Amino acid sequence: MLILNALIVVVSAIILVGGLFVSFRIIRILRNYNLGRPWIILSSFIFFFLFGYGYIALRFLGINLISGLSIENLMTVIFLFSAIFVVTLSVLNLNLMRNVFGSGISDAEALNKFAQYVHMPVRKVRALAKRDYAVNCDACNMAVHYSIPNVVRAHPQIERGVVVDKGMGITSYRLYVRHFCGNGFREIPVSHDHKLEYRAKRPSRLV
Amino acid sequence: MTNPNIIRLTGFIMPVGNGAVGKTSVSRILEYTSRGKKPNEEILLGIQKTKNLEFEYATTNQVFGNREFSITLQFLVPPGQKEEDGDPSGRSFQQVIEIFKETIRRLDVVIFTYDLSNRQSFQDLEYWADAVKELLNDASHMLLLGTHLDRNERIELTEEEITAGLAHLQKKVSDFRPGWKGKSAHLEVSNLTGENLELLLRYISGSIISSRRMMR
Repeated sequence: MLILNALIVVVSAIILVGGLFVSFRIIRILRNYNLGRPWIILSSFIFFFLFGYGYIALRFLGINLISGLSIENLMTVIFLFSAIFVVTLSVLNLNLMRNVFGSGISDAEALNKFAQYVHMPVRKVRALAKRDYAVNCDACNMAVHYSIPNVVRAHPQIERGVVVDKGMGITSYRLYVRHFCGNGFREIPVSHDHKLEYRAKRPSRLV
Repeated sequence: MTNPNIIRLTGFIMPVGNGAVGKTSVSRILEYTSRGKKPNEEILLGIQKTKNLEFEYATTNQVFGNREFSITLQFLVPPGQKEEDGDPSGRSFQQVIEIFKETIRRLDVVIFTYDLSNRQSFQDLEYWADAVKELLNDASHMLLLGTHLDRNERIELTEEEITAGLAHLQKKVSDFRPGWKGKSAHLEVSNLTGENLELLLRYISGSIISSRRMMR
């Protein structure tokens, strides 16, 4: 019997249960936005690991619940699912970081994405868009420099960062400029006209 | 004694547009302007949100050609709240029109009002054009009125955009009423400094006369 090993595995299982509770809290938050599925899959992995940990702990204590299952086979399967678990978690984190800090696409790609979204020829967008716009943040009073590619990068889901307003024969583009200010991110809604010239800003909001 | 040579007319004017763009203010300030007074901040501060159809009027004497007119401008000021906003603190534009449409016999002038320092209020006139089009007649005149001209540095619209907006408005009304022959123009005013208010008074007066002549 390997009592100390069994004890360490049980402690690991308890830590894993803690992780499971955290996953449940994440699912509870994300299900309102229909984004909970990957975390449900991760939680099922944790359940599987818990089963494996329990089985191994019992084997260390000399109890074999499933006679056909060897420790070597179980370890192999745990290694496989651990790798899948890590990859899934990394992808979820990557998406989260992109949502917070923006995606790493080039200026040209960002302008293409913008042009496609606003239904404007790319050439026209490239000709009209300035490399640098600036607006003062109403919270910190500092000049915030931005460009259309910056706004597109900061919003991987472009519809959250660019809104097309049409009416009275004119089209305006509302851009949500993200800016780190004080102790958090703020978004300053700015309005650009059909020539992509800056026209107006509205009060900023905390993201 | 009333002068028999003066032609007396009462015209019906409806300013439409988003809330807080200055529909009630313009109507009330024009009454001061018609008496030769300058507007002041105190009057503007006393103006509250319109929650029902409000009636404001101003009487002005104007000379067009060699004729003198005494024109009463009867403003019918509806709320700037849209039905879909769901604001429970007063009636929406649609609710008010539903109640009063039988009593609104004719509109001589419709004033599409927007705030020059608020681009959205200009683009939302598309909505107001749809909302008011059934109240127009073939001789109704239109005015695209920009308020807050005093906010020089905060003006968010260009002359080019305002002109494009006016053309768009004309097309929209013509599409809806193919027989429409009313006139339209744009004007920018300040209720605070009084800039262009006398011109506005004259334009509305002239539009009422013109609209009445077209209906003969």
